[in-house]
Amino acid sequence: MKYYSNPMLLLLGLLLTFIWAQFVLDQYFIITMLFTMALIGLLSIIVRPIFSFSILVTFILALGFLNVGFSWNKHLDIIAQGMNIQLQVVITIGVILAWICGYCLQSNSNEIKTLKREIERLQKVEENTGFLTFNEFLAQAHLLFTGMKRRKEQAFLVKLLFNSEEVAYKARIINETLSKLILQSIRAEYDIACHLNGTEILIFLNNTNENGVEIVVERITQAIKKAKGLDSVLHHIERVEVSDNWNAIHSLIQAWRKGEKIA
Amino acid sequence: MNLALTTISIFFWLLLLYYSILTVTGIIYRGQKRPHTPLDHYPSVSILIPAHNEAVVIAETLYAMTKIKYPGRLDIYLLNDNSQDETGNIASFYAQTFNNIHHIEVPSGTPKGKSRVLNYGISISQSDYVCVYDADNQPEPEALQLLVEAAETTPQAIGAVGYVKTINERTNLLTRMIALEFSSFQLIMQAGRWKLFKLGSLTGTNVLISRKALLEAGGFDPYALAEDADLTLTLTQNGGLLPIVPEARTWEQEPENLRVWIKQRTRWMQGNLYLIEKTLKEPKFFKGKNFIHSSQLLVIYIGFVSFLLVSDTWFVLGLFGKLKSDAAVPLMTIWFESWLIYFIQLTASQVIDKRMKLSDLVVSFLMYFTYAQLWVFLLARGVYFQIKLKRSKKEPMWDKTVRFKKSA
Repeated sequence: MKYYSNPMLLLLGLLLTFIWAQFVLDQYFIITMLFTMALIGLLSIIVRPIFSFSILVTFILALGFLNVGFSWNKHLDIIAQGMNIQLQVVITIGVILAWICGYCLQSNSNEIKTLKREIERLQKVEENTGFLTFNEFLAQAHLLFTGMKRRKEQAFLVKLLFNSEEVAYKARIINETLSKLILQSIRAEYDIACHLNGTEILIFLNNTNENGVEIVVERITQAIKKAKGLDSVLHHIERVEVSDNWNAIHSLIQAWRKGEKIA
Repeated sequence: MNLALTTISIFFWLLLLYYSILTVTGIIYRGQKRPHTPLDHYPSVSILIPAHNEAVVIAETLYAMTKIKYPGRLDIYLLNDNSQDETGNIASFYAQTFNNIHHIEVPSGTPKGKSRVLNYGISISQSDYVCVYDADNQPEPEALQLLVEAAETTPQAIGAVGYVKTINERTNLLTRMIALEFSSFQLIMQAGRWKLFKLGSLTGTNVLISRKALLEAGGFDPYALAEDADLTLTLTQNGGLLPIVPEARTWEQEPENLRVWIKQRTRWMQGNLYLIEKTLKEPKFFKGKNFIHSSQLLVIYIGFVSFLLVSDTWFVLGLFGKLKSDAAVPLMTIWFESWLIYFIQLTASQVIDKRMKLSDLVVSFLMYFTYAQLWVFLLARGVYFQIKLKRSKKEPMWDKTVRFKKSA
C-alpha cells in the first residue's frame, strides 16, 4: 500500500476525481460523494484498517447493486446505463481515495507512536533530570556488577523514597531539584542513578563499603535538608548490598520498580 | 426470450450477490484477531507427502519439513510412488539424517494417483492427526502447530485447512494470475464460507484431518481425481467441521506454462465433474451443510461457466449494437458489475495480504477478460475427457503436474 500512499499522487488523484465529478455529477451527487468520502475517510482513521476496508468494499458492492436495481427498474437504455456506470466509477474512485488518505493518516500515526516508543527505549538519559533511563540504568549496572565481581569489590543499592506531591507543577520542580542534588552528592564517574517510579530514586554505589554508603547518604540527606522547600520530602532510605548473583539483583530492582514489597 | 433473459439475469445477479457477501465476510474473518491458544498437550501428527518423480522439488520440500516447529510427536512420511528419478535417493538421505523423516516405498497398484498413495500412508502411520502436503510444498515453520491448535480448540472440528501461497508467483504472467486467483477465491471465499456457514473445504495440501474422522470416512476415494473436494463432502456429511486458518501458510509451486496449467486444471475439472455426478446420484450430499458444498460445486463448475458465456455474449452483442436498447434487463450494467465484483475480490485479497503493486492491479484488471475466460475451454475439455473415460470404462489416469526447476 505504501506505493499508493504518495501524498502527491493522492492529491493529484483527488483533484482529478473532483474535476471529473464536476463534469458527470449533478450537485446532489457531488454532495453525496463528498459526504461518503468524508465518512469513509473518517472511519479509516478511527477503526482498524481491515474493518474500514470491509466497509469500503461493502459500499462499492452496494453501489453496484444499487446501480443495477435502478437501471433495471427504470428500464434504462445502453447510453443511460453507460452514464450511470460512469457516475458509479467516479464516486467509487473518490471513496477509495478517501479511504487511502485515512489509512495513510492512521498508519503514519501508528508509525510515529512506534518510533516514539523505540526512541524512549534507546534513550540513555532523562532530558530534564540528567538521570539514566531505567533500561540504561539496568544495562550500566550490569556492566558495573561484572567489573565489581571480577575485582572482588563491594557495591550497594540505595533506594530513596520521597513523599509524593500531588500538584503537577510542584512535583516537576521538586523532582528536578532532587535529581540535581543527588547527582551532585554521588561520584559522577563511578555511581549511577535513575527513577524507579514517581516517588522513588535508585542509586548504584560502586566500589565502596558500608562507611562509604553512609557518607553518601548523609551527604544527600544534608543537601536535601538545606535545599529550599525540600526539608520534609525525604521519607525513607533503604540500603542493600549487591550480592554475587546478577539475576537476584535484577529481580530485586524489577520488583522495586513494580512497587512490590521484598521480605 | 425476454423471460429467459430476465430469469438468467436474476440467477446471475443472485450468484454475484452471494459472492459479494462471501467477499465481505471473508475480509472480516481475515481481519479478526485470533488469540494464540497453546495446548497443554499436543497430539501426534503424521505428515504425508505423496511423491512420484519429484526430484526437481522434493529436496526443498523435505528441507522445509525439517524446519517445522511442532511441540508434539511429529513423523514425516515421504510416500514414494514408484519414482524413476532421484526422488528416492533424496528421500533416503533425509530419512538417514533425521529420525522423524521416513522414506516409504509405496507398492504398485491401481488406480494410480494421489488418493491410493495417501490411503497407503494412512495405513502405515499411527498418529492422532494426518496432515497432507504436496511434494512441491514448503510450509512455514508454525503452520502445522496453528492447524493443530485450531483443530483442537474449535468445537466439532475434525481438522483444519491452511492457506496455500504461490512460491513462483513472480515467474511470469500465468503464475501471477494463479497466485491472485488462489489468494482471492481460495482464501477469501474459504474464509467467507467459514465465517458465514462454518464450512471449510479441503484444499489438497496444507490440510490436517483427524485419523478417526478419516477412517470413518473410508479414507480418500481412489477413483476421485479431486480427492480433496470428495473427502470434504464425506467429512461434512459425518458432521465434522474444518476451520480455516489463514495464518497457517504453505508455499507451493504453480504451473509455469499454459500447457501444464491446462492439464492440471482439466484434471481438477474432471475430478469435480466426477464429484458432481456422485452428488447428483446420492441425494444425501445435498442435505445439511453439504447442501452449500454441493450447490456451490454446481454453481462454480456449471453455473459460473454458463454465466460467463452469457456475460460474454452480452458484451459482444452490446459492442456490435445488437442488443435492443429497450431490453428489460440492464445487460451492460450487469456485465460491468460482474467484472467489478471479480476485480474487487482480487484486489481485496491483495490489500489483505499487504502486497498490492501496480502490476498486480493491472493483472487483476485483465484477468476477467483472459484467465477467467479459459474456464469455458477447461469445462469443455473436462467434459470431453470425462465422457471419453466413461466410455472406455478404464480407471482414471492421474495426470501428475509437471514441476519446474527453481530459477537461480
